[in-house]
Amino acid sequence: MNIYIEGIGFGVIAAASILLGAMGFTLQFGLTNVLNIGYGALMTFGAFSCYLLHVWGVNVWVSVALAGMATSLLTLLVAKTILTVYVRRGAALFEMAMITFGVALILENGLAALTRSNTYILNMGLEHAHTLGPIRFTTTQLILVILAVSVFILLDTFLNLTKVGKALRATAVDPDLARTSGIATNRIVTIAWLISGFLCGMAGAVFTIDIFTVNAFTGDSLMPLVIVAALMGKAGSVRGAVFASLVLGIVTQVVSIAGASSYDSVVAYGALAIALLANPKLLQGGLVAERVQITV
Amino acid sequence: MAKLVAEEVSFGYGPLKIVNGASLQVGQGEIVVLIGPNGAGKSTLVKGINGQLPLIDGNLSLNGTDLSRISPQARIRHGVGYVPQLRDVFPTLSVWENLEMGGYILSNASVRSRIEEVLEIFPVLAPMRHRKAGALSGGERKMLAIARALMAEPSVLILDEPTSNLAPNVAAKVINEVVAGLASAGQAVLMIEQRVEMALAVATWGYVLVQGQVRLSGAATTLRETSDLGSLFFSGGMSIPPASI
Repeated sequence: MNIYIEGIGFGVIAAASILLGAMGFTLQFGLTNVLNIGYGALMTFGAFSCYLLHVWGVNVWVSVALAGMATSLLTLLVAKTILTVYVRRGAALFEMAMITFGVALILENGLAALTRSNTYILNMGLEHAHTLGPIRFTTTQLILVILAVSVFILLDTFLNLTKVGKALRATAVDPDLARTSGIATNRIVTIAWLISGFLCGMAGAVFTIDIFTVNAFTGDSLMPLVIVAALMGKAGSVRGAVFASLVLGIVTQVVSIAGASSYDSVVAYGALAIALLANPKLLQGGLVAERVQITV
Repeated sequence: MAKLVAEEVSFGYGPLKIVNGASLQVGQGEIVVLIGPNGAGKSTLVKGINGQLPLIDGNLSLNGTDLSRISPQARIRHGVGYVPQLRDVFPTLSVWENLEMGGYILSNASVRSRIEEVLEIFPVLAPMRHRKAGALSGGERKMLAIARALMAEPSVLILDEPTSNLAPNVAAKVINEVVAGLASAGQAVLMIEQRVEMALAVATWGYVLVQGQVRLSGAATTLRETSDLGSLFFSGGMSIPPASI
């Protein structure tokens, strides 16, 4: 029985990277309506950025922040150069998803070519384990959880208490009304790409720190959990992503302990299927169901 | 003082002209009603005035400032306020946050005092300031939509069918109390309305738009007594030349 309680502890740690990724994904999808299949590849970019910076001697937590910034800029570049071309041509939701899938293939295979498809070890050194009842964790793992929770609190505060944050929420609900209210929606959408890219990069970096390894497809293993957490928590809802991430983190770790570690994606999609049966509107983008306008 | 002037304006979608050579004026303290059958181009005309659609032909100005080539955000700064027919508030934001978004172009320091001023105009909204806009009744929601548009202190307030989807008694309250009250306080109002009788009863002037063109215009009291308004609506107005009465 203790091993399953320990699994809950691992689940909370795993939820940290899922949460960071899900907050970015839900913000991006909720505001732009672009179902970004390339999000996993961008998380991989964040993971590699963190790894390289750490190897070059940068403090690992500074590396996480810098990886977030680098991914943020890459995300904005992809949005404003590639995605915007197709939005102007009138691409619909499914077409945009396929275009982001193409972007993912280019990014991942480019990284695979550069790294010769090697897997690299992120050396965090030996750490003393702390215990809390049957749950064991390292200082690094504790910091990962604190980091994810802190970022959530900051983002939630930003969205609910600042003028730009409220404008982000308003634009997500109705970009036309936002525009005729005087909100500079183009600038707001740019901010959404930057923030979501930052969170995406941080998620990749945190995931790599958690599992100690990185390769050209690292983000892909996190991607299903991130998408499911974002959609289960309702697209556009950062608060919803928190609970969904925690549930998914714990369930997948407990499933792993039960001996079915390769089935965590199956569990994630199963959870999404159940959630969609309960509420089919979860798959619709934006904070409300009315809007399907893609904004890049 | 406030004078919105549209001269021979044409608006549409891409190459398709929906409004073709329409002219109208709105002065301070006036309620000007735009009426016409479905598909006449009324909403297209006001979307063109607020900048959601580009001006194809003609001239458009407010208080002498040319609005022809400026963005919707810039038009708000120049005094154009707009309340759409539907989707007129941000439902997941609170009443207070909706008003903040209406005052987005204002400085942070002046938003709070402006909200208090607007809530004095709509005291019914004051105790609901923390309630989500999506949880308001139809009448409360429309008042919030108008209050949101008033936040930026517009010279002219454009209302696209403010009584759409409202019960008759609530619609009467919106027209007779809210809209008429605003005009009596000096607000210039351009209003599209399907409840023609009710709207003309409070209006100063009216325009009848048919197939993208102003087919009839005149003082509201005169238009109310015009017996062929119905024929204009149902015949498409093609046999009746443009007229002013």
